[in-house]
Amino acid sequence: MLSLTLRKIAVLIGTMIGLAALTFLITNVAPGDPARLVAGPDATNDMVETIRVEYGLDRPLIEQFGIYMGDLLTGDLGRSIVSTRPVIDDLARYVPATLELVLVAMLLGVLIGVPFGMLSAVYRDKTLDQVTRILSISGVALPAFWFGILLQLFFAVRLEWLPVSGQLPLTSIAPEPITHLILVDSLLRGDFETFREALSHIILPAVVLSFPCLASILRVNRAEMIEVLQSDHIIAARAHGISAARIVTVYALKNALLPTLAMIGLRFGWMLGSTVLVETVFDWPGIGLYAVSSSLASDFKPVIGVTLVIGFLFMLTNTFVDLAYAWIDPRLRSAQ
Amino acid sequence: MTAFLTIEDYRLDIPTFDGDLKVLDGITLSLEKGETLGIVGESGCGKTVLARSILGIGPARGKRMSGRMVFDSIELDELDESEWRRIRGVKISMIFQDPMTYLNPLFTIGRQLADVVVAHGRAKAERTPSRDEQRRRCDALLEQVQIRDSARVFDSYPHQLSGGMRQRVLIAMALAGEPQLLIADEPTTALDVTIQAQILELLRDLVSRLGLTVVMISHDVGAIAAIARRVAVMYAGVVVEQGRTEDILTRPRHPYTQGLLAALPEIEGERHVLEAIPGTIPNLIHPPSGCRFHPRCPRATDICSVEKPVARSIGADHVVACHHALA
Repeated sequence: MLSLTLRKIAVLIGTMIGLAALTFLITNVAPGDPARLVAGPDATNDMVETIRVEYGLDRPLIEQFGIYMGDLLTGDLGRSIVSTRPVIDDLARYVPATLELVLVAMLLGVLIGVPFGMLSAVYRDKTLDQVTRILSISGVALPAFWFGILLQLFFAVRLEWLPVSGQLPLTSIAPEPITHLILVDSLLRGDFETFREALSHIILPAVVLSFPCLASILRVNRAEMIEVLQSDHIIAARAHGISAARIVTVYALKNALLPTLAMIGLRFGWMLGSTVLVETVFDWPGIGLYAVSSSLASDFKPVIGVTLVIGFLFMLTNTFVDLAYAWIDPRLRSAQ
Repeated sequence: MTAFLTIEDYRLDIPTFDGDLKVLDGITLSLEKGETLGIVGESGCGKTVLARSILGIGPARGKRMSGRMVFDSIELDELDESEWRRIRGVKISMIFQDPMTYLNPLFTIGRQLADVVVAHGRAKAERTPSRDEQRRRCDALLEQVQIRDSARVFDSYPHQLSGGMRQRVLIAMALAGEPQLLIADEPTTALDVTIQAQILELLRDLVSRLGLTVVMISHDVGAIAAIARRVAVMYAGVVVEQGRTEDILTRPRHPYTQGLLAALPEIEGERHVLEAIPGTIPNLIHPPSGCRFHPRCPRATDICSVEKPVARSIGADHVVACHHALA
């Protein structure tokens, strides 16, 4: 298991370098002169050339790449034009909010998707299965921005149960950071009022973000459960007198969990991408909103920074998924 | 002597998109306590469906059209799930064809075996045995199937064991609840020939030592002959002939049985061309009218396609369902 972990980490580093190279390539292949973009529409040619030299854009591409990679290693992602702060500082501010949102959404997706997928398989074609089928089809089909606005209208504007947007009310102060996740920090600090506020703010965006993910986890888990429940070893377990409840929740579920895990890994990356939409609708101060406002301002360093962070988180998740696979399935552990 | 297991005119259909599959067509069998019955037939003749139906784990969508199964005066078709748990593994147990796929790949042998021990404890309303007690019982069970390094096997996952070892483990699981009736569904088919002999020997030894009543299913006539004192021959969901093993093997009366035996290669004696039965197993959605074997039967006459032959006794403990039983 240790050697597998080390190998997976090596792969992770390799893929990360590949991603960095790819982002570099895209920015240099994309049409438009970056120096002119930075200089602005009114700049003279001299000003553009000055900026070109200042940013090192006049050097050979391979040298620029070397500098770019070196900067990445030292955490230097450049400076945002809009906020004038280093991109890395902006990211440190915005990433935790996105992470918090995505983790809560994923938690919802797994905690609801897995058990209901299991139940839908057991009560196949019964009422429960039909209800979850309709819900999951709409989950995959509904566009996030539209569904988000719908929920805002109903729960925030009409019923006034939940706040419309934001991460905390303007009057509240985020707790002294420990993990930088407001829900966790407020609990750790014993600040239950802030916890309640943060929770009420996160519910709607988390539901919107998790809905498609929940739907696909549910469907995959259901399909896998149905297949596993027909497999030989389940028939044998029944023949040996193991109770139906134990067969479903222990013997079959563990087998069905493997493909479900793969789906969870995929959906995690998808969710990180969707934060762009959901954070915009809910004015959630995360990297999605940061990426949108930066790209609207043609501020490209932050966009590249966000791309790298999302890519890194996605790869990290998939590394975890791979390790979880090996942890669940002994055949993968010994097949090294 | 009263019958221990009785199957009477048992008919089972499985609905499919194309129509109902008439898998079992009026199976009648009975078994006395301590008896060993073999069921032979080609793949797809309904042997496994029949075997699983005895344990109430037949095809999920299967519909019983007629007949009943009675085990030790218990009407098996009227049991609900909770009542079945006092039967499965405790009174009737089963071993399976491919020991790889019939063990859960994600749990250790020890865990799976201990779970069976605990489940049986509950079925018999005993207190749940302690961890040490479970371990001791598992070790004893593994020893019973002649696994010597039980400690290693206990902590192994199924893929780490050989086919023979896995089959021994499955036999140990089947015996954990001290059942009276053992159903063996092709227990040696998926194994290497040398291992087959070992497993057959082990089974034979266990059957005589524990006084088990056995239903053994196989398409391997040799394996059946090694275990079973009586044989039933199945064709396309019908028992065409049954009787004492030596009678069936030496003096088959049904044309199908004769064809089946003629298709076996012999080592001794002179070399001759193996005879195959012409044709294939019929489609069970639209089975042949009358006798289900008539399209492939060398002796078929007009009556065979019209009237289903009734099983009739043609000697001491020898029943055949054929209009033109061989002399």
